[in-house]
Amino acid sequence: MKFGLLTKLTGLLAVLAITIAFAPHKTFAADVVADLSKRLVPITTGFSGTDVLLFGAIDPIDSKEKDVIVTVTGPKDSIRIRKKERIAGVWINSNSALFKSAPAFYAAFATRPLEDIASTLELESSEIGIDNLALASAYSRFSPNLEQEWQQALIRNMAAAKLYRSDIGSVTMLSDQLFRTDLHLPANVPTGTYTVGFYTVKNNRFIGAQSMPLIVRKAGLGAWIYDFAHRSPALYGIICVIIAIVAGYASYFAFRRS
Amino acid sequence: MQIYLPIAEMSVNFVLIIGLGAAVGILSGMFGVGGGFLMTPILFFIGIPPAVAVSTEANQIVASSVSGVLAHWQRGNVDIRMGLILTIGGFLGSTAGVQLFSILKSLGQVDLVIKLCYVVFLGIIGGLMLIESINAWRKQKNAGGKRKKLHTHTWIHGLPFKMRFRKSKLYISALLPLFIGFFVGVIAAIMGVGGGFVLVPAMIYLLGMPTVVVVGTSLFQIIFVMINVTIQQAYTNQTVDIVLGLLLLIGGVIGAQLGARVGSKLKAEQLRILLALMVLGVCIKLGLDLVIQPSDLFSLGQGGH
Repeated sequence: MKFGLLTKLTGLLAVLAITIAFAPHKTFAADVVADLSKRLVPITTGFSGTDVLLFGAIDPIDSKEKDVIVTVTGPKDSIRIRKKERIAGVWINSNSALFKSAPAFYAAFATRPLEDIASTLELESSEIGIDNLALASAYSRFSPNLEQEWQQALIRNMAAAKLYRSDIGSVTMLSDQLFRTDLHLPANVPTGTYTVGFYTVKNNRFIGAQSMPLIVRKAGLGAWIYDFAHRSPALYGIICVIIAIVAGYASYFAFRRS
Repeated sequence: MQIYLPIAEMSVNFVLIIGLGAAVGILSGMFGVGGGFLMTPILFFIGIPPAVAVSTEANQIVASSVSGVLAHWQRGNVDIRMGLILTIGGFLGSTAGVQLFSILKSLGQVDLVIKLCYVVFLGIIGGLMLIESINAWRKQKNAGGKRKKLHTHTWIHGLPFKMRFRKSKLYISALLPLFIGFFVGVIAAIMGVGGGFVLVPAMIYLLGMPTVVVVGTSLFQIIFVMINVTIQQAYTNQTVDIVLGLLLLIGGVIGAQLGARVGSKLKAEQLRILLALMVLGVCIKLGLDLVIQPSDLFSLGQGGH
């Protein structure tokens, strides 16, 4: 009976240890405490991109051996990639692939190159780093090679649009405890709820994690116009036309008098 | 200086947009052209999504055509009956055009079709303008010329549903202006232009209308067709950006005033050669973009997701 309980306990501990080892997000949250300079980014009429400061503190014990990774993942979106082909001398969109749940924005920051911090397996399982995102296209007909070609095309194009980026070495340790990094959100930043993840890694093991939401949304007049244009499109069109007619009328008479 | 365009979902320098609106406005004022066929491709070049550029420019053309038609209206140079028949055709054509636009958008081919249309039409217009203005320039040097025949009879005059158009001094089939209106409506909806560059020559050469009523009547038709395009695009594709439209409007009003003053002081033929070269320049730029291998064969799909 006693023996049985001990076995059970050991078993439980083993399960716990495995859980800890393979689910880095949820455990040891105390090793890192972090925050953002703003939790809400409003896209107003004057918006031309903005910076958000991502900062925090890690447990100072063995802090020299630890690395910090910060990831910013935008809302999942379905993104279509098209491939051009030359037909009769003209480059025409022919094939396309739909990535059904690719992040509309992604940025990774770290104290050192990711591959020096953790193994590919670890990074892939936590989807850390652009190349480790689980990007599956909606087409199973693709061979693995082809699938990878399209994935690379998605990453390349999103990077060119400044929506995917990795700034390795951009997490600065201010002391053995404090760290910071700057997230730049470009003018074309997609709206939605973002997840900012903070991780500490020691000896290829994720030992601390914290995540929090960052909300990007249209605000002010621009948001109102966008909502109006989508909620009552016919009325919006009519109002646009009325504005144009009045403006045309006014400019004619202004012109005639001068 | 940056302003966020809520529908285009990008930020632009508003001084640049007003400046471009003014520059195209100056050209419209100088040459009496609508300017849509220059403004829309310029909007492509600065990165506005083609779908938004086309729809917003349609709204902008409503304003410039209203201000343009008033002068012709006051001088009695609008053939309302002809204008209405052209408008009915234009309504049907532009409605079909917007639907076609939607289908092409979902197929991912809308950019290609818009740009191909531009290359073809700008090439034809620019070429014809260049030839015509060079000829006119030469003719001016050694003056004189022969008189044209007032009226020629062709198969066109044999079509049914004949109608009398008093102001245009014509007795022709209503089917002809109806068809012309339809064709121009389709082009206008897809290209984001008023279509004056097709409508005016068609009215002169196909319908045989007197030149004095042509511009006023074409503006009359363009207003109603562009109103239809704006509302349809706003309803079907949600691509009319009123903020962008207002910026273009401000620029256009300033530009048109300047252009009319500058234009009256300069020699017309040389200016026309200049305009023709600009049109051909835009045509060549758009054409090369289609033919030269892009640095990345893959691209992000616009819309449709």
